[in-house]
Amino acid sequence: MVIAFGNIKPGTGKSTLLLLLASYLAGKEKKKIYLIDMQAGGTLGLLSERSAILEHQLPFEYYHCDLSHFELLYARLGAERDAYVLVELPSSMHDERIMGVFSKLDLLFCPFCYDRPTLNSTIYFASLAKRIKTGISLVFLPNRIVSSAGYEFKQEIDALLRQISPLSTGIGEHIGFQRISSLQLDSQLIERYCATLDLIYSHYLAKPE
Amino acid sequence: MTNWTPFIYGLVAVYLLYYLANLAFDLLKPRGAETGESSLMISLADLEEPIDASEYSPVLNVNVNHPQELLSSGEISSSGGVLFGGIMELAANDAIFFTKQIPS
Repeated sequence: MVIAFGNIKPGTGKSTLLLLLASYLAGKEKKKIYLIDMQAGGTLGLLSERSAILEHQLPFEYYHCDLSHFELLYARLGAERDAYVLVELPSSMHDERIMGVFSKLDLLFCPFCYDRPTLNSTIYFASLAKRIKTGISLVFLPNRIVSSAGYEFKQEIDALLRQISPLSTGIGEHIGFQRISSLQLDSQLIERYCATLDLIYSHYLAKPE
Repeated sequence: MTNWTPFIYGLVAVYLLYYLANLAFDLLKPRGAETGESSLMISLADLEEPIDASEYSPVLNVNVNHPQELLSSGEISSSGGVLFGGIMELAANDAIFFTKQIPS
């Protein structure tokens, strides 16, 4: 299953949530998990360098790859049917080779926050994804939700996003996300988001055969 | 009239009594209470609003009976005659249509 995280707005939590999901899946299932980082100089790359120095035993394999090499890497990894391939899409969509990547995706998560500039970019990204691949399974994933804060027009925005694609439950803000220093996540952080991830897993990842 | 010296002595005596009473209370207190079994810890970060499962759309928008998919000739490897720039323009128009609906 190929699952991607994408948004043209940087800093919406693509890398972090991808890492969280990968770590969660590693504990949940015995399948192989591959991380493909398509972001040049992105967070995952930096974290993996640190993990390499610290010689972490990671429950997944990390690959960095650009648009020109994606097809090759996919041909290698995609051959394994019973594996999770988690892709972090590049923020820049100004390359038509991105269409090849979209065609391979089974599920696309679009993390976003409830501020106006991010919403605009998120809606544009979703529209683009829908234009490139009409039937794409896109799920909006609200990130950095502060439980004590009120969000202006949240109801209206949620209703609007649901017109485009399903909207998942939100990922709350947690200091643990700022303390991530390598690809190895703190088990307490995964535990904390277990309920949310379970819900996401049962709704979007467990295949309705 | 009292002198300063008896007053200080009195004060010291009262303090010593208070100190001893405190010490005795701590020593004679039942040990079981110290294990912290009954202590309640509230993490404010956990006081989040519950997840509203009813807001989930139970099925993904991939429709099995969708005619477009039944007529599909396979995986998309081209944009179907529309240039990539054209797709981006169409997407931008869609985005404008949706973002206009956000109240400000």
